[in-house]
Amino acid sequence: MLSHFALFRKLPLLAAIGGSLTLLGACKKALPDRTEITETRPTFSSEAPIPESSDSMQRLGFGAQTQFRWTTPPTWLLAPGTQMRQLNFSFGPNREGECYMSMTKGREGSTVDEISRWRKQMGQPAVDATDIEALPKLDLLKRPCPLVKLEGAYTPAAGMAMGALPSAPRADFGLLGVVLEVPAMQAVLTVKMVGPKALVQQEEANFTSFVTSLTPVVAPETP
Amino acid sequence: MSEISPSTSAKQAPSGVLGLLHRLWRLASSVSLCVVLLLWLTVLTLLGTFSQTEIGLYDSQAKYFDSIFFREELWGIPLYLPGAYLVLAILFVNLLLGGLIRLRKKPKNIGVFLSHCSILLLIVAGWRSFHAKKEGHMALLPNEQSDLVQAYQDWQLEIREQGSSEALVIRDTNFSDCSGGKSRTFFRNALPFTVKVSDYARNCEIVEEGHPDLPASAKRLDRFAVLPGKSLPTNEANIAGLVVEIRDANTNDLLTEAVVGAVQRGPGQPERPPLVVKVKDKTYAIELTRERWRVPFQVKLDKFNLEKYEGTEKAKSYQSDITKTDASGEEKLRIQMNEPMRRAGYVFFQASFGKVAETAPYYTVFAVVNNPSDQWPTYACVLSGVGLCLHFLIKLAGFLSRTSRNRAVTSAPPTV
Repeated sequence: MLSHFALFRKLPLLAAIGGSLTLLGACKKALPDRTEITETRPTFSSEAPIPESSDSMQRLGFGAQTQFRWTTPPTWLLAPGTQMRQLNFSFGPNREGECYMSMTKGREGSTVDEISRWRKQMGQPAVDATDIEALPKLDLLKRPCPLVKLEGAYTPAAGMAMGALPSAPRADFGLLGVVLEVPAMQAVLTVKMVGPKALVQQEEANFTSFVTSLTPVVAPETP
Repeated sequence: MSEISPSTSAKQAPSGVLGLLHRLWRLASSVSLCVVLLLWLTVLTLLGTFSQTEIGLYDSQAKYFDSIFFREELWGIPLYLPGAYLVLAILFVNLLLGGLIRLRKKPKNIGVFLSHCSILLLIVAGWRSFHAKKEGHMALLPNEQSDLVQAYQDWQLEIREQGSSEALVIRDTNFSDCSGGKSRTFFRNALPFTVKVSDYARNCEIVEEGHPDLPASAKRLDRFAVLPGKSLPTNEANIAGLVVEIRDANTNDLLTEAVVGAVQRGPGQPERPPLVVKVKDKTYAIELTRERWRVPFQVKLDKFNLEKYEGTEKAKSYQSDITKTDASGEEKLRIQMNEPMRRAGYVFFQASFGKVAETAPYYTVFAVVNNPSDQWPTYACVLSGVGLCLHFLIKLAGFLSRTSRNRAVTSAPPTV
């Protein structure tokens, strides 16, 4: 039995084969600088027709799906949008502040629901219509809308994927937001800014100028 | 090893080239080589397991298990070591020669023979799966229907002509080295332009040109640039980006240059237009996307059922009621954990679920696998079980017969 494991006698041969293979491994053929495309796939019937043109902003997801024009405050950076954030900005030294515009069509809910949800995120109780009447107003699409200013521990909404856990509360945060109901479109338009309290206070003027700069590209449906 | 035929070793070894071949034959079929290979596979498994925490499952698998050779540095010295692909290929040859061809063909060795066959079948199943398996996912909202599956990994640049029945595909393996000033130009005879790829980042953020973290060397095109980020251990979470330069194939005139960000498709992902290139009245779309392919039937989500543990958000169980439709008609099925749907060579597993907004309905996600050797490991296990049982029974019968013989000898009256 032992003679079958006499590895040492085979070591030179093993070493020679191993060495050759190692040298072989070191030789990696790189692709040439000009390479022919050889692979194809069938097109799918569900693929959208190719548009006549596409601008970089839409194509890269910056301000995707928006029907608005706006002025970006100088300290803000536009970030790619998502399905829920048609316009998305970040600001602050470490980009820890964010401001986004959402327009949700066909959604049930109201200004009261939306503001109560924001208050819940900041660890504060819900409000009713009377409380909202007392709030200061800010023009959004030329309509006076309730302006919400909140401070506290901010708990972002839990992720929507399976198993996503609610995020930990972030202390000393500030929130600014406006809500506009557009009944004709069954839509709710919101602009929300959230970030560390001091940063939000510092950016309040930019928030106001951004909200008031929003203008529909097409004629707005009567709110 | 005593079961290996001694015929070759008993003979006197020839000299010269024949002698070398003879030695090679003996080495290739030896137990020693098998032991070395199995030990190296153990080392690879350890290296792969430890590296997962650092580079993630996908990269670790690619480096140690999918490779013929991999590079490792020891005190700054580069070493090219054999990967699992090569080791398993040599193990296959070793087992074939030593475990089947040189094995003594006796009835009592049938169990060993079958067990060796089962290991060979396992290796072949792994090889077939590695080269032919396709994996992806299909996400469906209630009442949504689809036959398209999207891959989890790897990006590809697709060039689609308006009205054409096929799109050109450039896999990211062809341009994964196109960063840090390196570029590569892709062409095809029927294509009126060439595509030069540069600034590729496997994980990146597409940012506005004024972004404070953007290096001076980054190409800024039409206000945007690719800001490379560190690759994430979970490869699916990496979002790629690159820069393309489109030139006329005949005149080499610059047609356009643009930043291209990866397109993600699925619930919650906004639709984005592709990069549009117009050449000689023809319109082309260029997109960086995950591979997609069709399954030969439509799947419609009728209902997604979710049961949570009382008072928590934790899922207790979840199932998808679907309708599968093909030329043969409709079929109502339920897909749930451990009860996948197997149809036409495709397996649909209930993988996960989610929703795009708090008020939105849940969508379901199926992991879709097309593996031609899907059931081969099962066959190999059965074969191995049969082989080992047979071997055990043969050994048991031999032992019992020896014991009874010994008893007969000891119980026989002593001869004077």
